[in-house]
Amino acid sequence: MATGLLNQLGRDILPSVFSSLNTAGIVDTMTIQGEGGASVGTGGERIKGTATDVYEDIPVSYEVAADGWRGISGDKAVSTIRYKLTFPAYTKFGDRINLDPTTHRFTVHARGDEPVKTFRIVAVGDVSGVVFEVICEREG
Amino acid sequence: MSAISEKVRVALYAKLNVSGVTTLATGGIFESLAPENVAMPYVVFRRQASGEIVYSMGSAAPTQQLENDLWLIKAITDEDSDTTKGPQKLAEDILTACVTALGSSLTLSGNTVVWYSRFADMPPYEEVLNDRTIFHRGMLIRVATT
Repeated sequence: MATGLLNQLGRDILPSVFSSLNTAGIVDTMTIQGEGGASVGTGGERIKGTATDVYEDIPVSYEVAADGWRGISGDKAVSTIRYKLTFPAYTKFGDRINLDPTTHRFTVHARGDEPVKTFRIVAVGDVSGVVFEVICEREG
Repeated sequence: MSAISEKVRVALYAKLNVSGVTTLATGGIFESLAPENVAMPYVVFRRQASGEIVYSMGSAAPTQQLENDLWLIKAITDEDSDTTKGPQKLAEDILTACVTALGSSLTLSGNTVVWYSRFADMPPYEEVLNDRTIFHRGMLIRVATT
């Protein structure tokens, strides 16, 4: 058992609460994907590494955080909307989730008729090491 | 857009939409804009600039003799496009495949192509979309028709 209220909240209580909420069907689960083995090409270009699952079955809730926009990027029409994802800072095994906004991406699992959803990190909010409130964009 | 440039557009699409290009530009080939549901990499081409139209002057109304356009052909990639080569390199490889596919001649029905060659490269640029960078690489080709 961790000592200190915030430590107990972050490491022990919140993961358990989120897990129970997930069991009750109130929150979803997601995989946090990362990138392994990025390299630099012969011309100095960065070559992205392959996608890997860094953290799995993380209970998460998501909500729209701001109005979206529609525009053209990459000579393609793109619509995107901003979300806030809330999830515990520790896994159910007590491991600290170390987020890297430059390489991590969230994949919320399918639920019933709800499809898989991909969220791209904009900024990471760490609430006292207890929960993450991460601002993301979802395209399409 | 003129009737001749419409013919050129169709002919260029036919030239570019071949396996030599689409095996690299897996998203496909599109005129002006790619559709929203297509993933990078892809090629976008468009009539970028029309040159002065040349007429011959006679006793009657002027007769069009030459139409001279610059067409932009762009490879668009992002950091998710490939894990074996960088997006810049992939875009350049796609452009090289485009040059090969375009060849050295273009045939139109009812018109004659009198100039068909690479004119200049587009200055490369990048843009950021959410968590990734998009790379634009392109070239201009000149197509003159009578």
